[in-house]
Amino acid sequence: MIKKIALSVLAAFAALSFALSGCGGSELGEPSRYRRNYFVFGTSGTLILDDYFNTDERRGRAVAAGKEVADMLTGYEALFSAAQSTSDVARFNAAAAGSAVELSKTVYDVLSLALDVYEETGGFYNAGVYYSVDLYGFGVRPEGTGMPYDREDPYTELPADEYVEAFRELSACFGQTELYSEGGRYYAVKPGDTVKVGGAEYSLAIDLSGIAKGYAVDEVDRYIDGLGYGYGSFSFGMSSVAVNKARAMESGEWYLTFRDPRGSVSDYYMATDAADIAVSTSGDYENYYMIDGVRYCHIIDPFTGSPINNGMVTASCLGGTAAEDDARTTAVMAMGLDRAIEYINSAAVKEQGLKLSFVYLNSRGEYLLVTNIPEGEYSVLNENYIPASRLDENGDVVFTGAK
Amino acid sequence: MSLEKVKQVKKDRFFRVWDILVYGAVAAVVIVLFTVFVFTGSGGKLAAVNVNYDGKPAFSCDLTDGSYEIFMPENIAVRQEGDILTVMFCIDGGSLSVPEGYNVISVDLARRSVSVTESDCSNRRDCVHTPAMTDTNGIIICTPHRLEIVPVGEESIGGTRPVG
Repeated sequence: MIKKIALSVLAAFAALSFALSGCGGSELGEPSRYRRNYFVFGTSGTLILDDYFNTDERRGRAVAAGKEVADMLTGYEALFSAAQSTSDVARFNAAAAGSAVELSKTVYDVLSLALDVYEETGGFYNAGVYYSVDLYGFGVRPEGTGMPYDREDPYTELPADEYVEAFRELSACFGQTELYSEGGRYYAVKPGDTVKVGGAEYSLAIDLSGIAKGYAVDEVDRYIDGLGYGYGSFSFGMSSVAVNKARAMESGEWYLTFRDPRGSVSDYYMATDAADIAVSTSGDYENYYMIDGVRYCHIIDPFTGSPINNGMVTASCLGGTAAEDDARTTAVMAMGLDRAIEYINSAAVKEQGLKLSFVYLNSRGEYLLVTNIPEGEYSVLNENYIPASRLDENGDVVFTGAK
Repeated sequence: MSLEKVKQVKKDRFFRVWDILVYGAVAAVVIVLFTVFVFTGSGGKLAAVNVNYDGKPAFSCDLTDGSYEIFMPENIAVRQEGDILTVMFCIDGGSLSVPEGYNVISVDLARRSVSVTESDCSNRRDCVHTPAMTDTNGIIICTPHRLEIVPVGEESIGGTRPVG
């Protein structure tokens, strides 16, 4: 009997102790969230630090980190923005065909990365589609800049075919861009190719905005890691994210919910758990317009020079770096169903342990989810999205849906 | 189970005194846990909001007493009807009167909630479709207009991260 009483008291005491300790009764107090938002690259960046901010010193450190991140982002925007005529990218774009352009080490590194992913994806990621993007009304330029192909309302009137074809041809030379460094300085040599259309001559122009945002995410993530903030995240919108651990979850993994590409910003179609990872997403829903029932989105197929029109709706990549992932998901969107599956099954993706998923709209109007994430490691949150793949004995994705 | 054992079980009282004490102790722990989690958790109730335009403060409102401050008078106009503050915002180069390049922000002082009810920012108008902000975990962003509505107050930590 005494044993029984002792056990019950012990159990009650243990449960109470557990409850109180779980509520953060340590000397550090309750953990809380420091959040700072930034407007750069034409979008919103968010820094989240989940830590103990119970003293002025701790709060001050977080605020100082937030300020440092602001300075980093402003610096990157000054280097990469095509809207700032003094940026490295704008100088490269304005330079004559065949000329060498001195770049900062940062832009040199990102351009090098862009060329690597261009190779890895068979040219489906192509940073040389700047003019095609601009032609369809999605480009960024220095304020007040007019172009011969400008239309009164680019969102109701499609561009002339001759421009589409000329800029497609021009973008094909992106892979010939050469990089070299000399005496601690960094250079890119523009390909000598030019195209003439509408009475004007154009040389290669690059759009690094997607991959640059990812690069910024990676660098901020590295910076907050270095400060010892093991819990939190940094993101641009919802499309380029680096998460550390989740303090609110016992496993330390974030419950990542993927935006429903045909729903509102707070609707999700898929979820998975992950920590200490980069996640990037591209989709036809972020920036688009409709003409005669056809969706024209900001993702250009470099092999047609026009917005993708292949049934691909959204693609996400977990693993690797955010910079590479941004480029990879853009490429997967441009690849279309069959090539995207080939790419997911490629040695490059497997060796890096990348988790790639995409949604494909088939001819029956079904939204099919294809992924190399093993069954049981993800969940579908919306019944409109039908899992349409399985992994075979080699770990290859096999499409099980209808095209 | 043998017949004698069955008879013994039938003969026994359903509860013995010390059994009841053990169950009582467990029930007490459950009540304590419930109280601790439900009544002492950080509620994160919305106390105030800041409206930022292009990363700079444009408007702020204290929802506890209804006081507000306009930092960008060319971009912000406020109308109050009862507990509802209607905050009209326009971007630089837009117009508050036409309106053009605008967002309408509704602040419900009684319910302590904030939402964007109208905008001409894009076809999708994500800011309008973002659920009303009622606690300090939310944020409403209108990317095309570089507008953000940020809660003020203690923010609780969540483990869900929207991506995509």
